[in-house]
Amino acid sequence: MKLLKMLVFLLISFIGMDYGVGALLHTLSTKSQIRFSKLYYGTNNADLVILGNSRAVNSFYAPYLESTYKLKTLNLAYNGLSMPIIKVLLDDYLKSNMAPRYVAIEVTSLESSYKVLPNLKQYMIDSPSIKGLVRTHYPDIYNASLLSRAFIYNSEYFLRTLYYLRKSDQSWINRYAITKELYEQLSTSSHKIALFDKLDEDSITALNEIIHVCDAYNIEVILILAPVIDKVRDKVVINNYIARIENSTGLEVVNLSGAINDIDMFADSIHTNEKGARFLADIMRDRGLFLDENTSL
Amino acid sequence: MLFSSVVFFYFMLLFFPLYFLTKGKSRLWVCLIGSYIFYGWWDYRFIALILALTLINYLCGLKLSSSASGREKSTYLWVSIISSLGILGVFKYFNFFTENLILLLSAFGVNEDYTTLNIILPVGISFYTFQAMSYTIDIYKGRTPHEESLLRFATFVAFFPQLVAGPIIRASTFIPQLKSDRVVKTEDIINGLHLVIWGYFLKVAIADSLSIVVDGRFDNPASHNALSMLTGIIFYAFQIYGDFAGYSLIAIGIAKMLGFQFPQNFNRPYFSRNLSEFWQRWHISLSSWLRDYLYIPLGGNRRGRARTSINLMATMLLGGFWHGSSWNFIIWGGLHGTYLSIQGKLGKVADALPMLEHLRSNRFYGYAADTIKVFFCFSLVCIAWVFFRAETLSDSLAIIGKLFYLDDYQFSGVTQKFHVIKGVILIAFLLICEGISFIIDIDQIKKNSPYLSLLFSAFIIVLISLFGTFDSNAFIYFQF
Repeated sequence: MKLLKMLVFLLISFIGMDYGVGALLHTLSTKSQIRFSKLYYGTNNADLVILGNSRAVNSFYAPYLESTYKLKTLNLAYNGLSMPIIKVLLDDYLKSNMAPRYVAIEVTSLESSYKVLPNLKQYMIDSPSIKGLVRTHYPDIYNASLLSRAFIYNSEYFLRTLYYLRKSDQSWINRYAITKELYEQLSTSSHKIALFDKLDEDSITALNEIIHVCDAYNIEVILILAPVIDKVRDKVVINNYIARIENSTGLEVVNLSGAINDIDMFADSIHTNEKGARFLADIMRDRGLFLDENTSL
Repeated sequence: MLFSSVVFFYFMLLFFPLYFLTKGKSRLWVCLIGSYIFYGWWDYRFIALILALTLINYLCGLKLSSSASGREKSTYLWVSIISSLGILGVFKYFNFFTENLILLLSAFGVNEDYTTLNIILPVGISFYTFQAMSYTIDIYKGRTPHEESLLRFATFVAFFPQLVAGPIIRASTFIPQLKSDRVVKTEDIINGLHLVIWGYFLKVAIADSLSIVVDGRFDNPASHNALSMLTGIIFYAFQIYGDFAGYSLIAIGIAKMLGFQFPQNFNRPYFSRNLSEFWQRWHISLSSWLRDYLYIPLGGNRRGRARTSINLMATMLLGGFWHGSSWNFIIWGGLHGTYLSIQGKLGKVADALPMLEHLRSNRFYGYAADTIKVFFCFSLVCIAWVFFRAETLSDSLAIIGKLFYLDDYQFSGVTQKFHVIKGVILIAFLLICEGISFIIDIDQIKKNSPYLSLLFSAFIIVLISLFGTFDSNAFIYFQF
């Protein structure tokens, strides 16, 4: 009897503490300035929304784009985001915000990977769509989150959430440049660059759905291929990849893969740094992207 | 079957009721069959190995106690030792010796074709081999009586909580506990549960979380700066501690819940002020095994300074080799042997200085000196860990060399920053808890305020949930 009493006490203590910790962390999550917390708990009403994976994170520097275009910009890209997840995020964004004028999508690696989902599980509480994705693709994680509220906040992303508690994450970008040694190794490396080989039907379907939703909200969708370093460009076939996307979506892909030749503007072979992102913004402005007849710079 | 796997949870759900519903021989059968299922879960063929080892040592034990002459006793002891070490040698060291022999021959111009055997290393073989071997040695030395019951002896060898990664339990400690049905008190179950929960925290929250940072750095040292590598080395020190101490605590905790008392295997080792103290706090069951069955029979410290150093070196080299068939483990053992030998000499010089005697009476000096000693000892242990963890000798040397590039310590170049921050928080929490346990008697609190202890354990479960890495990483020491 004493043992049972003690075990019940342990269980109740755990449930109480877990609930308390979970509630506290949820509050912190709602107050954070990190991008998806802003999406779910803030009012953004951006003019320009950027979507994509790490290449979009590091190619589109929101503070500089805002000052260049005078457009309120929100970068919702994140490392490893795939099109089906981007579709869910955009849907959720449109539910609680005014439709932006432009949605820019970086279209590298169109494969339906869900590896990033465990990082986003903290939004399961407030997004039935994220909850559905986690339940489908990570049933163990979903079940564990039913047992413990604290577990929902067990991720690297939540540590970032805390880091951006009092400051915006929109200036999050690579700030270092690729080393000369690493750059030279790119010539001799036999490592396969598979960036432009991955293109699956689910991703194309999701991309078409995004375009369809944007049409319904009268949002202009711009598909962009961000810069890659010259030594990688020499090794990959980009034109076929672009043609497949253009044929599937009926939209032109703005190919900026060769827009930067200065290696100081890259953090590694496929990601620009802040300097590169600023330069890219100037190139896009010169090309007339995100500009209409009403825009005066 | 991993302690951190779901299948182990189901196994325990079946095992516990069966254990408590049975008595006497039936209970021993439950333990034995449960242990074989637990072990055979990796590979059922391993069971044959453990059965062979059990039978050989059981029969040798019987013969040892019935032999009248010292020569006959020696024969049976050597049969036991050679058989046990033979099994270990074939499964663990055959390829190492073959490869190195061929290398040696080729250095003399003899080039031989050779093939290595495709042998799977049975999980935990070094642990149960040493445990079984100590039984016959103890009988020979008259420290323990032989065991008549094969069932009881087989349970002693194969008991699942400590079978694959220790602690290495002596026959004199465990077999007497198997002779009667254990009376399990509420306190045993609750105290066992506390140990299991803390053990899981060490493994799942600390070791497995740190492994993310450690693996990235040791797998590709060239692409990390000095500060990154330093975090990798320090994190590895705590990863291996969390991993191994975690396993030991879970094992000791489960045994306690079944009514068995096993000795402590780790005692806050990173608070050690010198290497001797470290080895009294780290993997206590192995270090005491090596002391009792190797160091002391070699003469210990009774035959002069030079011989003591040789004995220490031999013991530590073999201790290193016990961990694995690689030169890196031998160097790791050699480093510890060197540390211990030098430390003995330095200690004697320090004792002879009258100035230090005066300073020792000052309390502030005492604290400051202890802090410096702990830091220095930890640094030496970390350097040795590099050889233990790195894939090759050249990697080890490159990593250590990197630490001396003082202009390479830039925070901006540290990779996986958020994992590093998480690691630092967890290590700080661990050290604070262990530090507090020097000041407060935790066992007394468990006894006097059981509900307060339960609150703490509930908090630890929340921390596991919040910080745990649940990818079912195997325990590091399984490979040994």
